[in-house]
Amino acid sequence: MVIATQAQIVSRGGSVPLCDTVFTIHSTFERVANLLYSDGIVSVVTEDIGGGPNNIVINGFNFLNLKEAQIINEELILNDTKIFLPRASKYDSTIKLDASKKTTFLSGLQIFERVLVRHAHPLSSVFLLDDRRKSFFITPFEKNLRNQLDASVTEILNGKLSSVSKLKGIGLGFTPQGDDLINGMLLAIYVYQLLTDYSTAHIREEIYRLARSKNVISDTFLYFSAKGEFFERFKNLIHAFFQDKESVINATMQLLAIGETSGADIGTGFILASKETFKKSTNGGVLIWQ
Amino acid sequence: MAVKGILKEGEYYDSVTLMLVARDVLALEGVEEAAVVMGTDQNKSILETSGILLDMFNDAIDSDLLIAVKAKDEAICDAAIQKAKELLTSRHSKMQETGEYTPKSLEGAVDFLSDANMVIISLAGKYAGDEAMKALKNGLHVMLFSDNVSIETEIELKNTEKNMVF
Repeated sequence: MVIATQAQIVSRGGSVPLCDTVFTIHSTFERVANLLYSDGIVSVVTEDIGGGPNNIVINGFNFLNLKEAQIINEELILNDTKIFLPRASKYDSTIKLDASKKTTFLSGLQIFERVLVRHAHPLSSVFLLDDRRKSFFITPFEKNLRNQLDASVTEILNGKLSSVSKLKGIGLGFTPQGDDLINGMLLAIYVYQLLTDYSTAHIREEIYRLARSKNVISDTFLYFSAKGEFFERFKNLIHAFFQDKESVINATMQLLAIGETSGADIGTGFILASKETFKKSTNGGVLIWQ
Repeated sequence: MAVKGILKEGEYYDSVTLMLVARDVLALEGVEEAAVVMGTDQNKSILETSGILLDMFNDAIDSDLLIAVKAKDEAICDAAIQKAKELLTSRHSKMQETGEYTPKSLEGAVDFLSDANMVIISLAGKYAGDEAMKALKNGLHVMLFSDNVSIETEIELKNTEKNMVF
């Protein structure tokens, strides 16, 4: 018997299915449950994790006790908890930027980089922005990992897009650091398109093709980033670039709270790719990835 | 020298947890190298470069967790792998995503708590001295709770102007 409880829905992403669906539970954390179905992944998250194209944001549910998940008659059913999906506001994962404010964006990017270098986890990929952080990698294995990340990213930034396939999958954990770096690069290349009149769709499609893997969680993130769809914390960060320094600092802190290094790794990829793309365009050149 | 490992299916951890577990295992007497990673092709390549890729890892997939240890003998390898499993279990039960920013460095913590005037450092001795000096240079008092800090480092720290408690 299904019993209604006090869980409250906050929002749902545009890619969350409303049709009857039986999910397999992929993984559960304190504030996230990743649910597998035939078309991909739906992540049920708490409000402080925030919206995303495939996120259902709810409060008042203990994810660690999740045993069953399905959608029946537009209701999400988590164990004995029923949540009527159409009641939630739809999270808008798209972003609109004023192309005349490219300089403002680049100023925000500089602040973001400074805050990231100062506050990111020592074992994140931020050593790619600040050489001094390389010393945090101590063991031979860690140094090999760091060198592999460094070499692959350098090749990509030197125009060898095919090295995306070398970067993907590098990293120890749930979403490898290499995948998060690629994720950030995809978002940057999309933002470049919004702030210029140059379509980057073919570059993003190629990066996604090269980065696809059997890691369904990473693959889902990459898919949405390639399409130019943003999760809430990164969208807030980009908007903060057009506000003030304090807003950038606050949005960066929120980004850094994603996973242990994921937020920092995505941010690093975003900064590296943004600097590369805008460097080319401001010098009158063309994008390095064609 | 022996190299041993295990493969665990469908276990997910963040990068930092895995790196810290590997470091704890590496700190065990007789262990020469240790890695705890997901079984992506790229990670297997790095294991190979590090001399700890095992045949049993060849068919591993992205969602498999690989634990590899190189040690003086097989018994130490076995003990180290057991330790890694225990650490993963205990960290998994402690793992919490707060959703809020928590400082990851001394500089970050100082920025975050601008009124703070004291830091407690509890690290392996070889790293503790640098962190303590960094804290002193940031104008903080330091309570150092670490073994195996070299006598030279201890003298250097105690010769600074701020209070230092071992």
